[in-house]
Amino acid sequence: MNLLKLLSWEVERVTKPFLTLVAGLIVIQFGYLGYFLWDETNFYEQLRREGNADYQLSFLNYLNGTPYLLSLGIAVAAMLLYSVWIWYRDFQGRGTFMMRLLTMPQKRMTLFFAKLATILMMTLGLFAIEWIALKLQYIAFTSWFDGKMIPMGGSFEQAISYHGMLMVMYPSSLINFVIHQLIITIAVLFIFAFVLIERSFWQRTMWSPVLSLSILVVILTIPILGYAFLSNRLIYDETIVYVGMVLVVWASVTIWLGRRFLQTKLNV
Amino acid sequence: MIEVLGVKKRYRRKQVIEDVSFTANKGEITCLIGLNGTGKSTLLKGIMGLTPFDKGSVLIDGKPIDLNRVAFVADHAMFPIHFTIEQCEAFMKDFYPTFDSALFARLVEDFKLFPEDKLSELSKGTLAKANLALGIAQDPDYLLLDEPFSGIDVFSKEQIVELFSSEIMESRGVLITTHEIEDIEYLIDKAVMLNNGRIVREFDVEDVRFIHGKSIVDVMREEYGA
Repeated sequence: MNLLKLLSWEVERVTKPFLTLVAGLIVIQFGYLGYFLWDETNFYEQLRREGNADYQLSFLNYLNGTPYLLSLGIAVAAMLLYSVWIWYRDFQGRGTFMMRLLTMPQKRMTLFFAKLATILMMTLGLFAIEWIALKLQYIAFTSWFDGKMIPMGGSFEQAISYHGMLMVMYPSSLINFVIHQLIITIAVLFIFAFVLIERSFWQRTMWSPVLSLSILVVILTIPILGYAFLSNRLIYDETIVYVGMVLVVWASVTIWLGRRFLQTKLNV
Repeated sequence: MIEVLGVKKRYRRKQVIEDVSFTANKGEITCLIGLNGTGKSTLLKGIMGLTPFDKGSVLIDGKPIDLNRVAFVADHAMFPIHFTIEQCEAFMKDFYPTFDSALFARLVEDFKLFPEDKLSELSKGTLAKANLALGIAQDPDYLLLDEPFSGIDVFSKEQIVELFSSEIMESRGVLITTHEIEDIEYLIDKAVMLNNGRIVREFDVEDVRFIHGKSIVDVMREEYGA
């Protein structure tokens, strides 16, 4: 029950920044789409005047434009920063609100999971909004070029599946989607573990960020080094099992670290 | 009874608390006394688990700390400062099962607080009163107060002192740190004096007053040589 209350509380706190981020992305993407349509139309008209109108556009051309990629980069950066800030903001001003959160009569892990769920909901929310925005951009894209009689190639689905970032956000199978979400969750768990270890040692040593980063780098690299060692001896199926096990180990270890430091070591 | 048993705490190279043990009884006011930097606030935060001790333990009536029974009141806001007092109350009602809204309403009225005021707009004295009201309304058995009189005006001080001698506080155990000993000296039952992270003296205030004819400030002068 407290988890839901805390989650609702965290969501309420993030609503304004989240909507600002969404508005920013939409402005950048639709602004760039407008420019792209205008620019490409001019270019096509010039080719046609020169009698060299053998030119085909696809939605992927638009998606590979720097401003579009930049908008996705901004969203990723914002989510990563917020995963850090969701903890640090509560330590601001002499550790004010964190004192309240940690002295509430509840398990401290409730707080951890509420913050984790908030980040994951934001991520899924962004994916959903971006999907709708993409569809709308595709409709605008096709309607415009249809109207101008400019030939187009490739479908919406093809454009997504050939795009490096969008392919990760919207994979073609449900299993891949679940795996990608798990990887995102593990990335957030690593960030949470970093903050909680750093906040546990900050009064003990000025090297607390380096210390926490080192611990996490070790946890991250051991399975990768293990894979480098084993890769020649593993067949495909075994590799899949190995990767699955590594993901489970990373998730478990970061949650365990988060729990340990949040419950017994955190210094406010 | 709050029992603090053999606690130690180090910040970087400085040993802030060195093997400190004491008790604070229910129905009594126990005051942690010491010069700046002697570890008073660290002790309170350690009891609440906000700065975990390196060694030692804390028991409340013989059991590990139960946050339903102990409230901590810091000398600053423990909420985002854009919150209004009524938003703080709503938060407390949501997350503290023992929160007593009627008691909070009474304290708000007694302290002449305005629920729609933002914490960022409150004077230090008004903020101290709001903090205290939120802490007491948790209806705890034990209340931990960190410098509740620090930097506040004389009238706010009087209101808080009056509250300490009221029936609202009668059955509760209070553990307080303060520099303003004179204002509450006659309310304190027990004093625990700290110096360099160690307890240098622990005494029953009434005994010292009646048997030795000394005030807490007199004992402080002896100990700290001030």
